[in-house]
Amino acid sequence: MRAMVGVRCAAALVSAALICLGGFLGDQAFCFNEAPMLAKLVKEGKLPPVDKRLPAQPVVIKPNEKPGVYGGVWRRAYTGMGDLVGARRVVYEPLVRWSPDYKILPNLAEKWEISDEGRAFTLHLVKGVRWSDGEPFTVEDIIFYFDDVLADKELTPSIPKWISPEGKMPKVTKVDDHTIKLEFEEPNGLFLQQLACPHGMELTTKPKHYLKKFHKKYAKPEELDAILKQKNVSSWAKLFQDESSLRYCLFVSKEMPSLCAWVTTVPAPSKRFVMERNPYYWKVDTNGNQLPYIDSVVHELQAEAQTILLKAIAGEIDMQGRHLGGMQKSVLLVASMGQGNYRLVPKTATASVGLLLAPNLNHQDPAMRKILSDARFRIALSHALNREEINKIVYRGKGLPRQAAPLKESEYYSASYEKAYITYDKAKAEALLDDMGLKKGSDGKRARADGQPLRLTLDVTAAIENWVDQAEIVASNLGAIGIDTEVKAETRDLFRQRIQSAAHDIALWPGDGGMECLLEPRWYFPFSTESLQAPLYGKWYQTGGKQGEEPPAEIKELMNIYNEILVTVSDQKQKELFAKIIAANEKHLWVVGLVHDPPDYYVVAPNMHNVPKQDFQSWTYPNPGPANPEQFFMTKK
Amino acid sequence: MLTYIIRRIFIMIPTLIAISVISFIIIELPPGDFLTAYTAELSMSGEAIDQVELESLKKRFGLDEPLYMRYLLWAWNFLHGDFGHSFEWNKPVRDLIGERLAMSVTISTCTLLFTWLVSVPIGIYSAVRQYSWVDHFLTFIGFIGLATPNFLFALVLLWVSYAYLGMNVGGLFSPEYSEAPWDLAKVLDLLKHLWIPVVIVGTAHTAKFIRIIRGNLLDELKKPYVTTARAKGLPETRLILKYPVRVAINPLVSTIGWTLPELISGIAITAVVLNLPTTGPLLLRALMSQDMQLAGTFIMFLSALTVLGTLISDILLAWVDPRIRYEAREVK
Amino acid sequence: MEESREAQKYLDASTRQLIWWRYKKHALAMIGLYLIVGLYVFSMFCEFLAPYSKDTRHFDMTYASPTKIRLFDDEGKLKRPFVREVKMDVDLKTQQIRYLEVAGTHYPIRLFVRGDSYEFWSLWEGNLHLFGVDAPGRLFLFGTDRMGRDLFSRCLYGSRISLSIGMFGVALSLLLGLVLGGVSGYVGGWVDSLIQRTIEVIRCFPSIPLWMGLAAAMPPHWHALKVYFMITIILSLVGWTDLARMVRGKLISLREEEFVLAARFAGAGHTRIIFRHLLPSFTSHIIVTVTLAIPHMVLAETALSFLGIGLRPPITSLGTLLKEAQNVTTIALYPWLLIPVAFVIATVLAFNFVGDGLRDAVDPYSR
Repeated sequence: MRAMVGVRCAAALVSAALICLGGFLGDQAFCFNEAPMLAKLVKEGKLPPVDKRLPAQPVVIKPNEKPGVYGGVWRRAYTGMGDLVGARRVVYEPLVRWSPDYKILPNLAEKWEISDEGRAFTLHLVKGVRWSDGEPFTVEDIIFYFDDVLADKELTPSIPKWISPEGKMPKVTKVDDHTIKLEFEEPNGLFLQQLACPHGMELTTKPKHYLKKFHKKYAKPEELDAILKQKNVSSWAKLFQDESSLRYCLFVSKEMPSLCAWVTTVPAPSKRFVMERNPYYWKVDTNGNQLPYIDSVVHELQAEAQTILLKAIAGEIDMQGRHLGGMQKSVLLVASMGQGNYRLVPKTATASVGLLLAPNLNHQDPAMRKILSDARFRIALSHALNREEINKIVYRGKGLPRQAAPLKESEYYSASYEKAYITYDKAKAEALLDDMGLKKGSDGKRARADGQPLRLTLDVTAAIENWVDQAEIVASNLGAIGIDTEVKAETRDLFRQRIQSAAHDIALWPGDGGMECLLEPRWYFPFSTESLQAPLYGKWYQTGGKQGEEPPAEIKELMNIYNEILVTVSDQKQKELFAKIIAANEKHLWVVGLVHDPPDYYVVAPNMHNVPKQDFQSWTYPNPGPANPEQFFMTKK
Repeated sequence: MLTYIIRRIFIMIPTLIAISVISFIIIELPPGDFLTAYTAELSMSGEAIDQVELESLKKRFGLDEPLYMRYLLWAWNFLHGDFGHSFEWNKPVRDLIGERLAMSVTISTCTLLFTWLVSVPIGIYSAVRQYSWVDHFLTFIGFIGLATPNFLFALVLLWVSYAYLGMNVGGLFSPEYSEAPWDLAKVLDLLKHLWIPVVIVGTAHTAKFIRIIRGNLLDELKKPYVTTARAKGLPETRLILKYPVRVAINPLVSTIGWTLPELISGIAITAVVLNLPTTGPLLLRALMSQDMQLAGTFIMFLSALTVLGTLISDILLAWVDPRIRYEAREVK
Repeated sequence: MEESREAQKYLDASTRQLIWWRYKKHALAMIGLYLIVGLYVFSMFCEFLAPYSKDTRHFDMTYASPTKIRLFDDEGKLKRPFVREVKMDVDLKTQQIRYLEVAGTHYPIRLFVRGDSYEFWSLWEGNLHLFGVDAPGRLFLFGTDRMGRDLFSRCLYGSRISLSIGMFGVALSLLLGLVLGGVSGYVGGWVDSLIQRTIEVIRCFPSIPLWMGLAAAMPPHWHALKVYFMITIILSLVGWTDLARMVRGKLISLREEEFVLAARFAGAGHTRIIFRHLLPSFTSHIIVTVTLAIPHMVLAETALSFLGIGLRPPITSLGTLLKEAQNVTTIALYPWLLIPVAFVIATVLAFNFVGDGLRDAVDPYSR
């Protein structure tokens, strides 16, 4: 029954894709066009003609507004190797992808079937796709990833959770050159969604014919040794990881074949890191023009985000959102828009709130633990917060005060959790605290049951100014109900060390996972050590009870529900199960949300077209990738 | 003279070794290592790194070794011309620092020249016309440069040139030249951008030089030979420029040594704001992310430069002033 | 006649008077002296002088530009200085903040008003401020920051921290410099060599990595005050070498002088020789060096803050105030937030002028 649902769902998507294909497939006279720079190479005999490079039935992308013209250089900026995330978001080609409204769409896998109650996934690849060096992309490349990368203990000590929640290798079978079947031991309810996330590109960035020479199993020992010596690397595993690391492999080498719209020609981290069009890119527009429209994507190295902002204002950036976010920069971008150097496209953060309070349930001091574990205390905190003040000061009144609940745009939205306990009501807060026995002394400050003064420290990362501002407002709000509160603003790594060892009272962090609740559940229950409300319970969950601390029953219950979601294929059933988790959160309020931030902006040059009208901002949804950057185009200025 | 130089070079070696040890310890001092910094950065963009990957990275970077082993390994390789591997940039350190170091030295040298060009005339003038209003004014201007924090000066300049002049003053090259091979056009392009950091950093140091020249010249002017020369009817300009000024400028030579590290530090901060391809921004990043071998190598090179600068200025001084040579022997 | 009387006065004067006379001739040095006195008075009594506390947020007045002080009312009549009530208005389309004066409102600036309460020097409580206006009128001489905090008040509190860091830091450098430089110069031999090599290593070491390493090494759970002292110590660790060199040089040149030999033959101990005979002979040099070292500390503190490793909020120093201002948005839209830099410049200038004046004055003949 469940399998049926999955197939039907997939079939619907495929037929949607076919509708846009249908437009020209019947037209026999149709021929494909290519960019002038490639046509020149074809003429010189350096490149096969376009119809030999494209699949017989290329994937058709319907332009966002209108078909574009070839040419142009898309100028962006980056701050170094750690910032290649920005480039990764431009070249987004997993097997299945997110649609601009955050649903699953076919990509390199043109259709799929789910069977055996969600245990088996049969993926059909688009036929005739080639790597950027002209070699065919086949099932072999994916099998190479599973058999020779994942299954190799030297390269991968254990299977990542996103592949299979229980960390077990699926059985991988080649059905034919373009069909692959993955069979998991347990139903894998989130597998397709995981494939659409950035890490899903692991499967599509492993050109076997190229990476073979770095792999012990395939390379001739003397050749491998020569490469190791030449690159000055001590072991083949290091070498292989370097050459295939998803974080940068597409951008640091000119040789690395790729399936993406642009391939690296001047590798990062140079002052100008350049990617040029992939002559073998396998998508065309509705007129049969091979994509991408834009010739090259250039990232200029900048030492600091501030200079990137200046470049944007001066019109030296054609489309970029990274390093241009945050209220402070948005304000200047809006103010300087009049010069006509750019327009702004809003993107909504998928985080449920810009910042939330995570009271530490794993506090080492038993007395504090008892207080922080008391739902009344957390509810009192929530009522003590003047969210309107935060909204006014930090977001100019454009944010939305709410709890760390799923967003309105998401399928898991709950109006009651969103608005729970967010009224600013000092009296109610004080009553709750009095009820807990945290009585006010003569100096107006509250004391714990054991007579010690009640002191709280708010841990926050100093990297972002408005986080510290919000923390300070929270601290003064709590001071007003008699809780002596101090803000501790730390560097990012110090902050992390403190919170991961559960040394904090209350930590402040954005509420990621307001849209992609199932993929990023850390604020709905202690999912991992990133769940700052209870990092040790999170560890317990991640390690299957081997490390960390055993959580109380009501939290274990949530973990069980989530485990059930993982093996559920039906969307409807997943939603019902998740609603239970939300209901529990509404009752216990493990984390206290503040305000959802107003949208950030992409800076878009006036001559840049086909960009989305609005977008999401998230990690799992690598914007602007889902908006098909290959069909962006630039007109002459 | 030769023995003096050899002796000085001999002293340099323990200094450099001490610096290398200290720099390693300093980089290691903050809690955590490169990976904690790295994970923290990833988490800021919403990406989580799992424990398994962390362990394998740790092994890959050799961070599971104890500190002294890492130091010895690095030092040993360093002596053999292998400066190690940058974790963050995933590149050999050698590839990263070469051109940047050259840029840093270029900017520092230009800045030093600029500083001298500005401060010598001002220093002379304000000594000759001590306590005149022009003296006060020039000194005041000199000190304003010293008193304004470089980074703020740079940022304001950057904004003003963007907003009001429509000019991009960041970086050292226009985009079309940044990856181009070196030729005359590129050098000219460099010069067009170079003046901004030179002025910003240079103004921070002119005051010091003005003070030195002014003080020395004041001393010289009081000496009997000046009075004698004046009594003999030597024209004032010639009188001053010929002898006292030359004596007063001499000590500037000795400032090369200690000015270099100050300039490089000053440029580091300015370079971050102005996005200059110098050692500064990279060094700061390397320090913040505890990119051990990159930061260590940088510090070694910068310190070596300083030590070398000191050596050169000492040699120059000894050459200019025989008394110092004599003193050096005597102290021994 | 006139000239000889002048000369006689000169001959009769004590050294101190001579120095003062010479010093007075240096106009910039005099200005510097007034400035320093002013800055220290400001920062010592900032609780009373500041119209608001440094942390009071006026959240309906974020990014307010400096309040207009008016002298003439609507009829054009001269009044005692007053301000108008100001209302914040956010343009929802452009997101820009505007402030509109409410016509007809009139709040005179009064002296000795009651306002935000404070603990003066952590000793006694008070709420009296030198000047201010009655609510709902508000007086922001330098405007407000992003949280609606009065920048003028924050500058005063910030100067207190920055100036005191300068003082303490230099005091510590002085101590280190005197002791180590003294030992080095007086004892000589291998001790001297060792200390000299150490100084050389420190001087060759680029200062920024040194600061960064040490500052980042501070345990994160430290209280803000402890961080403050630690930063001071770090700054002085780098700063003592100049003093030590100066002291050593002087000692070496002085220790062979007759008066020292005489003292030694008279049976004076080392300590006595150093503190009774040697030190006083170059106190003036020390004072000059110290005066010139203070602005260095103040600047270094701002540089540390720029790098994000110096003092952190909620401590307010000139460095942290500048850190908050050093972004393009501020420079473009809220330039008044750069005012703290004026305090930095004033401090650095003042100390340098005073130092120069002192140097000229105390050491008229030899250098």
